[in-house]
Amino acid sequence: MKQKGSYINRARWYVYAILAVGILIIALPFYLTVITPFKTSSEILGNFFSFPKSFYLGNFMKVLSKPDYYYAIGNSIIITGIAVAIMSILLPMLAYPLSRGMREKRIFKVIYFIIVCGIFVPFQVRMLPLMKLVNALGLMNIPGIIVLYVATSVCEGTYLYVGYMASMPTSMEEAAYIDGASTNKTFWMIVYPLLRPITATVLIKNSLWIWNDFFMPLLVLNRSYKLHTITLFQHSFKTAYTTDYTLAFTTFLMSILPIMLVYIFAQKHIISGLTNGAVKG
Amino acid sequence: MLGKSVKNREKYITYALYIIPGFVLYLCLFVTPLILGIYYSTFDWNGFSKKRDFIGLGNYIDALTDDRFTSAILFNLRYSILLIISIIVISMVLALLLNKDLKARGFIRSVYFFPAVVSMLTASLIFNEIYFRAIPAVGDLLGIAALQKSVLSSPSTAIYGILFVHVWQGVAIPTVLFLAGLQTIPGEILESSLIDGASKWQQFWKITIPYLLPVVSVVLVLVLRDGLMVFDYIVGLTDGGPGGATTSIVMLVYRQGFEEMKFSFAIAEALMISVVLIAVSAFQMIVINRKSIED
Repeated sequence: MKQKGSYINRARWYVYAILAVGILIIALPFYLTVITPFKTSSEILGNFFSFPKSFYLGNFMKVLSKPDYYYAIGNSIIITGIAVAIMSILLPMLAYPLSRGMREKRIFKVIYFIIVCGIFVPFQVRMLPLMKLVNALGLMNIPGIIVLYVATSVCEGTYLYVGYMASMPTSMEEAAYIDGASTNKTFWMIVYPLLRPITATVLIKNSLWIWNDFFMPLLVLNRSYKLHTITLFQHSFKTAYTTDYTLAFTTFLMSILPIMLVYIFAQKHIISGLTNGAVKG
Repeated sequence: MLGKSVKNREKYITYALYIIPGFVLYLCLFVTPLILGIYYSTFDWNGFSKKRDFIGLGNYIDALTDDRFTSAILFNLRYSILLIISIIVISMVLALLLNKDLKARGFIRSVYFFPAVVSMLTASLIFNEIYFRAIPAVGDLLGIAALQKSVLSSPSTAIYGILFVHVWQGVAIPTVLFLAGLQTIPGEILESSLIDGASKWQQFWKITIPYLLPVVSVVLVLVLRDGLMVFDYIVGLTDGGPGGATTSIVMLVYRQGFEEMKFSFAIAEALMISVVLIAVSAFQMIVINRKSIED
């Protein structure tokens, strides 16, 4: 029975059995999320787990007939998109001089240290004074939350970029420098394209964080449904329609759908994006 | 020589221009609130009135003797310990299983990871419906009394209802980290230990676990942070109830700071809990650095 290289076991039946139970536990809530919106409230009373009989679309009509969902999805796309676009330019620009200057001047090391210390400080500590400040600055709006997200991403983003740049050879930069290229040109033409892998990691991490974030929108954008993001939309919907089970699941499905589609096409990148850097941090 | 100094000047000017936007943003919206928070926490202040009295460490002392704060701390401690144990054990077992020579491994992995990309709020709202409607319906059907009542409706069991959802989502990333850790174990070591007659159990404790320890320490800090800062799940599932049994520290800080006008008091509470977190994170960094120097 024993095979060569048997230190990695062939999976036996019980391995599959345990994993199958796990898959069931993971899949069941999603199964309910997908089937329930297609049922009527009376159909629910019969059986929660059965497949829908008539593919009722009234729940979707109900959600889509009001402007809330459109605002929420639009705001989430705008906030996430603009915030990560700014990050993809601002963070490498900040990290590059810190990484390269660290060997030459102490000041860069000091700035790097001040920034990286922020990784340890949880958001909840800053939240009360921050909201006071944000209110005073008139940033309780969509541009405001974008600025807040960018500011919050600085610590981890700098850490990841500086770590990545440390492992990059500098010979190409030096060659460009000797050839007379300006530092600015060297950065954009030579360094920036080489940062692609870490930029992907940073963008995936931050996109998922912002898209799924509930706390910051709750603090900054909770004044009007026109400012709501997808998580705030679900939250306020739940408070308004506590008893309507099928309608609640309709909002869940419509909120998960975008991320589900992205996950199907980009799961490899998402998994590595979310787990890269965690080991070192 | 002249060319070099001109170039150097050009370089440092560019460096400064690159650093300023990000660093100024960080100073204004990250460092400033932190310093303001420390300053505000020394007052008896509701956050907006003109009058505020300096009371030094008064808020800190009051908080430590405040029933709601101490019971929130106890809740978070219990919650964090249960969360850390569950997540580390389950994700390690999952990683060991997924590391085997599986059929459809890619598919299984992607299913296991999916909960991690759903928002915590959505996950808890889905489970809220499952706890309150789907499971009791099953209980009615099968006549099992234990299932007919929601876990969330009793103060003694609500914590487990929240914990389940957190673990359901929270094992995904640690599992991938453990899998990566398992891949660092050299195959020859495992093979030669088998030739030397080591049992599977010995192999696990003597080889696998030591190789995974760095990952364990990283996961421990990540999960501890999530456990001490839990908020979204509680909003989606119990809203702190029943009877305040699941009010976490962050929920309490949020309520007191924004709704009950105990602005300075709430900041003091938040600062105290973050000192614990920072200490644990720093301790872990130091231990890991020392380890890598020893190696």
